[in-house]
Amino acid sequence: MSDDLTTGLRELAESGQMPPRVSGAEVRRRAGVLRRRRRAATAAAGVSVVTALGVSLLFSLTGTDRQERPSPAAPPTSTPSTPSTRAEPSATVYLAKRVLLVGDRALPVSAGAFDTRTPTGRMRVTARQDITTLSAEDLRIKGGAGGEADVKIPWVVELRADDGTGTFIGALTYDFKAPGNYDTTGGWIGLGLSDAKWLYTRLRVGDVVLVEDGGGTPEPTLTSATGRPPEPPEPTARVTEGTGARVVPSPESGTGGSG
Amino acid sequence: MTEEEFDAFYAAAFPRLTGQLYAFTGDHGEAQDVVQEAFVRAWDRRREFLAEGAPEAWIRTVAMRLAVSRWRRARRWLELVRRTPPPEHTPGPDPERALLVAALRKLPEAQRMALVLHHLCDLSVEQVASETGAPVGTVKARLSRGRAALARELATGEGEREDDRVR
Repeated sequence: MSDDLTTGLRELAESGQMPPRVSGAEVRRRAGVLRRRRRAATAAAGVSVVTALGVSLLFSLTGTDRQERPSPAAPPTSTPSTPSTRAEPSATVYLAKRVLLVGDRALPVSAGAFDTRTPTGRMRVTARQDITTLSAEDLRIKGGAGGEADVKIPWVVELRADDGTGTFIGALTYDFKAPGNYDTTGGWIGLGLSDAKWLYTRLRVGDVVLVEDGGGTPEPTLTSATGRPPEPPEPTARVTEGTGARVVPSPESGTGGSG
Repeated sequence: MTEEEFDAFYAAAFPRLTGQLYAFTGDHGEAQDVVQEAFVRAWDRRREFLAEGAPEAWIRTVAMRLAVSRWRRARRWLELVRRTPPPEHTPGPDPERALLVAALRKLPEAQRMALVLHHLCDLSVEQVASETGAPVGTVKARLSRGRAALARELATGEGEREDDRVR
């Protein structure tokens, strides 16, 4: 059996041999992108403590929760990046931080992974569906689905930018650990089930949602709708110098913080 | 390692590694994806990658872990939406090969990884143990259970095919 198995596996592996899809130079280029992104993430983490106070002040001033709050200390010109003629965003997604800010709540999200990044920009809610069915291909789930299976995604809020790009927010029902921890979708924004339901009831067609790559968040105030604070992002690299142990990066570590 | 050396290594090792990962995942596209991603990480961390002294094994380990991780995520929801096993992606011209792929996919991940590393990649039981972080005894058990399950699956598959032929 063992010899048969070895022969069978060798034949199988031989039949599965494939040439590279991209050149070595392209692989090196992508590694460079990965490294720059990781450095940026590390730098962002370093300054986040400093900016946390400023950002929390900013949010309280710009009033992302739609409640009319007095802002005595803010001159009218202090609302950055949002011209007064445009509607205030009802929610803001920071992909690198894996968080969606709405009102005074921060909901952990899981967005598009390394090769299926979530589109960014200023988007409007174009439709809401309490449940929708998508093919596995739409969701870009790999490992055997092959577009054969349909998946039901509850609490879907569809988003579209002026230039036509779009994505959606929905409940990530098949990976409860992902929101706040790692990116796993095919480009959409996944929330925990209760968070998604809560957001669905809050957003209306026409509301503005900002989807941004980076951004700091006021860490101490982070709470999800479930009352559970999101876990901090994973470290992007492990340092194991001088141990002599066999060190192999975990599959998640390279894409951590990439958004 | 210079850029030229890396590119040459990439060109030479990529097909072999996708073959091994195909045996592990049963999916050509997935095998290519994870091997490519592993090479990206190798160049990104080339100091660590070269320090190991076994660059191809390093790539294979990373690629297998990536495959396991993707598989876990995908399978988690697959279990929720349907109970039938996933379809074969590329039912090749050789039905025996297709049977082997199907049988391998039914094995638990740990058994499949042990079988592929030991029987295809020629790692000793001890090497498989250090690669997968499991005790030697566990690896032996995985190998023997995996072989038994595979033999059972293949026998059933053969039987079904013969039944089909009769009907």
